[in-house]
Amino acid sequence: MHRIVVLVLSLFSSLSIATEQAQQIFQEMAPSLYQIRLIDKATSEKSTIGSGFQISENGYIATNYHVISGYAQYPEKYIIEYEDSLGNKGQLDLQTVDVINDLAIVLLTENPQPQHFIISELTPEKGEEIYSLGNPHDLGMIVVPGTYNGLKKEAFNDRIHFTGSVNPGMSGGPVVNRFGEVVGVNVASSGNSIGFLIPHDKLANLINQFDQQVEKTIDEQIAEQLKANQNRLISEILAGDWESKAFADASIPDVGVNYIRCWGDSNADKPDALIFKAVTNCQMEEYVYISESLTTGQIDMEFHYFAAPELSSARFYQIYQAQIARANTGNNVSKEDVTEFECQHDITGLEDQSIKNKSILCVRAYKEYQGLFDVMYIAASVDKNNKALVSHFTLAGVEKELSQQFSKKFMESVKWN
Amino acid sequence: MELIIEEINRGKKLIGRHKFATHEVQIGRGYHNDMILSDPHVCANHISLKNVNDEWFIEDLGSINGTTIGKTNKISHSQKIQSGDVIQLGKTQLRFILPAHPVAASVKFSAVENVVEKLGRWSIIMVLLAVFSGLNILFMYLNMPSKEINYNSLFLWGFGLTLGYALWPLFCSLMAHLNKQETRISDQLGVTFLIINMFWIIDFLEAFLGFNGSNTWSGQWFTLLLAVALTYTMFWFNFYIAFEQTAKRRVKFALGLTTFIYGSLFVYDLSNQPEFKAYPVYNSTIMSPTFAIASPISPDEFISNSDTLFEKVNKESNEK
Repeated sequence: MHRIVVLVLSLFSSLSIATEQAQQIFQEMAPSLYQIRLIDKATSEKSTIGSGFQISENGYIATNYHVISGYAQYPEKYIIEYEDSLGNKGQLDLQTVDVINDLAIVLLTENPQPQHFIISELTPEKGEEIYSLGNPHDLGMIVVPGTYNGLKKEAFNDRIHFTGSVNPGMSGGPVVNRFGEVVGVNVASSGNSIGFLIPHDKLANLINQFDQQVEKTIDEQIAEQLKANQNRLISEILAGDWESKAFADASIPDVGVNYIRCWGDSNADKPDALIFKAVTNCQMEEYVYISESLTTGQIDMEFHYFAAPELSSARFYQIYQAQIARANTGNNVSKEDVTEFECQHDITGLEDQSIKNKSILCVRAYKEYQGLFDVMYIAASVDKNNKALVSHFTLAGVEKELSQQFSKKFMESVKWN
Repeated sequence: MELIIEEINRGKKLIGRHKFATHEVQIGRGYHNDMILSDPHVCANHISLKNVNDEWFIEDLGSINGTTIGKTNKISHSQKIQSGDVIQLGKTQLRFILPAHPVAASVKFSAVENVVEKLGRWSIIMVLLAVFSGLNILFMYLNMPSKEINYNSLFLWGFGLTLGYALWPLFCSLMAHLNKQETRISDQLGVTFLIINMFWIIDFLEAFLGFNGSNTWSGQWFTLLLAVALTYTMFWFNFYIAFEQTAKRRVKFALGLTTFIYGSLFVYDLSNQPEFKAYPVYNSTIMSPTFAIASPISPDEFISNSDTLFEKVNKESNEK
């Protein structure tokens, strides 16, 4: 009995310490927290809201890129506005962005207050209590205690896995340890109190490169970051050994990186289906957000297997043909972002004659970020009478050379057993 | 000398032809006349024609509505008739021809006529209709995505489609009929369905070339040109069978209708294009291995071909 009381007491006290700490941190840091808004010039109304935090005494404020992306794309349409803890409002200047890690630094020029956040030099321990600050749904600044769960597995760009509710509007707010040092930046929630944070070292990198970055226009910065990111991504995938993976009677590539995840399905549960169909869909779950109309940086691959041993080949091919008519890429684009697709098609085969395909390749170019392309490939096997293999991939925002190397490796690793 | 009198309608088409070997011909509504007309605007004793010294003379017998010769000349006294004169009495038009009137040179049976006659045989028409319905039903069957096949609806659709296509030749026959020409339904059906069946060959060619060719040459223009030529040929035959018209006029009509149809299709296609296509448009034709005759190229070649694509879109993106 005695023990239980002690246990309950200590539990209570640790909880109360956490709450106390949260309150203390919040009170101390509140002056350096801001609500960041994009104001539409034409209507003077808010277009997006987010949070931000001061990172230097001369008024530099960190936030998410996606909070101010409207301004980065159309500076003539919006102004960036802040509101501090005392309700003061004013205008901010965009300095630099990191679209890959969804970060931006803006500047408060008029009389910044001297207090600011310190970026932590240490990474938190797994299980450590950390505190997310921000202004959810325009309801006022709050603090959300939560737990640091290490980096998200299966991610190409690092994200902290945080247990605690990160809500819309808190984007761009800091996440601090019990000493009030920044260990991450709020970026997204995936519901049920699972949140994702940008690790503090990404912000530290952006601050370190600040002097070179501000020399360039925002578009130049974005173009460079996109190029570097796809280079790192595709090179890493190409450098790996692609093991071949069995898929029905065929082998398909396993590109061997954990951030491309595969899912499978088939219609084996429908005995009256005319054609047996199986599909494997492999995709990267992360993407780079540029604007409301443009997302990029994804890779996905899809494989379909069709078989109907009892069907005449004429009928099989009629139905099979309809399955490859509407392939598309997964990223969002608009007319301002990219050209239309140009396509080529041909009958292709491997040297060992292990497969014969009708192959189709389509590309479109980015208008603002020259030298980057979206590439779509789809191939339909045409050498078996009653079975067929469709292989498909799309690469969003890649350079020509790398995409061609990828295409070659992909084409060579899809074959019948 | 004999006199030939032709009854003609307002479109100058022949309705009836009479030859008189007498010296006098009476024309009117009364039953005592040599030529009895039923036009209510014609009088019982309307005109009289007389042969004097191998020349014919016309005289109006004081009719209420009178008689005109040529365009407007009212006949007031006995007047000489020239071969080819047209008179109007009441609402009736008559043309006078003398035996020495020249006739056009005889038309030889043309090769075209022979072909049309052959195609117009019912046995041939049945074969053509069967081929058309059969192929339609076959393709509908091949495209059925389910195991269970409703043959009733399959055949109903197949025959319905044939009936639908038959409306055009029937329409041509109707037009001929309205123009006081022979309807020639069987000829129209034969020719139309022969040519419609030839479109199957174009369809096959298009698929075959699209499948085996590459984007540099898939023969799309070639097959389109064939289709246009075939459409023109069909209309030319339809008009040939339905109407008596000069060769020049027939070509003009057939060309006009073909241009109209393909022009409308083109404009329709153009107006249905979205302002910006965010999806790729490609030739996805595939056929069974039997038809795969092109020798495959290597991935290397395929990818080095794609340099052109990159160049094209790059250029386009610079033109923003």
